Amino acid sequence: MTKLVRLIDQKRCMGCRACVAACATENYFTPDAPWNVMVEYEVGTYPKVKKVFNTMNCMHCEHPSCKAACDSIGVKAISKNAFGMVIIDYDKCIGCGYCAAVCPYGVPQLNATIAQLSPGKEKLGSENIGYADRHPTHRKKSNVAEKCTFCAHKIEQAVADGKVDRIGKDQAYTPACDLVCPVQARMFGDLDDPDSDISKRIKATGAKQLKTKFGTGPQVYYVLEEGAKS
Amino acid sequence: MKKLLILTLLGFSLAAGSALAADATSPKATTSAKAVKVVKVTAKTITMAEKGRYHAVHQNKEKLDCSDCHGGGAEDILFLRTGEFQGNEGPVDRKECLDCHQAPKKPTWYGAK
Repeated sequence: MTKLVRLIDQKRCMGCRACVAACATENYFTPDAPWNVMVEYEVGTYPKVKKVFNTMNCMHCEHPSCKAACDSIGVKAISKNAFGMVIIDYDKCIGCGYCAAVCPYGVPQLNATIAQLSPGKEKLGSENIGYADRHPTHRKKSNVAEKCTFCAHKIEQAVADGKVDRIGKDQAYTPACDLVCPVQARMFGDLDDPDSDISKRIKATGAKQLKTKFGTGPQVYYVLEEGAKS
Repeated sequence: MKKLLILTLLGFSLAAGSALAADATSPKATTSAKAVKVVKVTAKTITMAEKGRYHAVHQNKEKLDCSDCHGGGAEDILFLRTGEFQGNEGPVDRKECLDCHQAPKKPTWYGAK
């Protein structure tokens, strides 16, 4: 089995937001419905204070509460695939907002209007691709829920090319946010492979998941800054 | 004689037509049509709006106070939706949700297996 997870190292992150910009360009998320945001806050007491940078994206939980809520009302627009990615089907979503209400991380976004990423300026990334030619996760609709997909279009390409072992290593098969980090604060790969770089780094750093009390089993791990919230 | 024959054929065809029409509107046909009628789940029936099902369950049935869900998230900043965290009106403190949604015989939205 392959269980794709992400590691974010708060001790390395300097809050540059390159990952946020990369995601916006790659996945054409609209300003009102971001898929990746930077949350920053201060810890400690003067004069020993620190700033914590915590990028938030979908945790692709093992037991996603968004999927449970969606299934409970019979809509079944959210699925979890064999690689652990939680994906929303825009054609099935009815825009009720239940997934947005129950996610402990505030991830699903109800996108009221489809707007250009940079209004009045040139189109970016997949905005230049025709609607029908886009990956299904990029065929945005108004009033449906959307969120980070672990760059499903890239992962699906890796599967199609028979290069699952290159996920997290090759540019074409790695989520955009994890590629652009200038300080290597982000890592993506297979946790089920004990010899993978990410497995070793999670073990070595003692990385933690956020808000484990909800029991959703998030698949994003954080190397927490001293005093950081979890 | 020809006129009589034409009139007789016309009469037969009209009678057959009305009999077929009567069969189509019989009570049996109506019942089977009702049986296959499916209530479609839409955002009009399942919605977070104040008069929707979500509020009907939590506010009317479970008798939760508005403040149980709204306005309790000031401390919860690890939250992606930028419009909701940092104490703005509207955030839901999900700690409250756990009281019910991890209890037996309740919808297990958190930690659901």
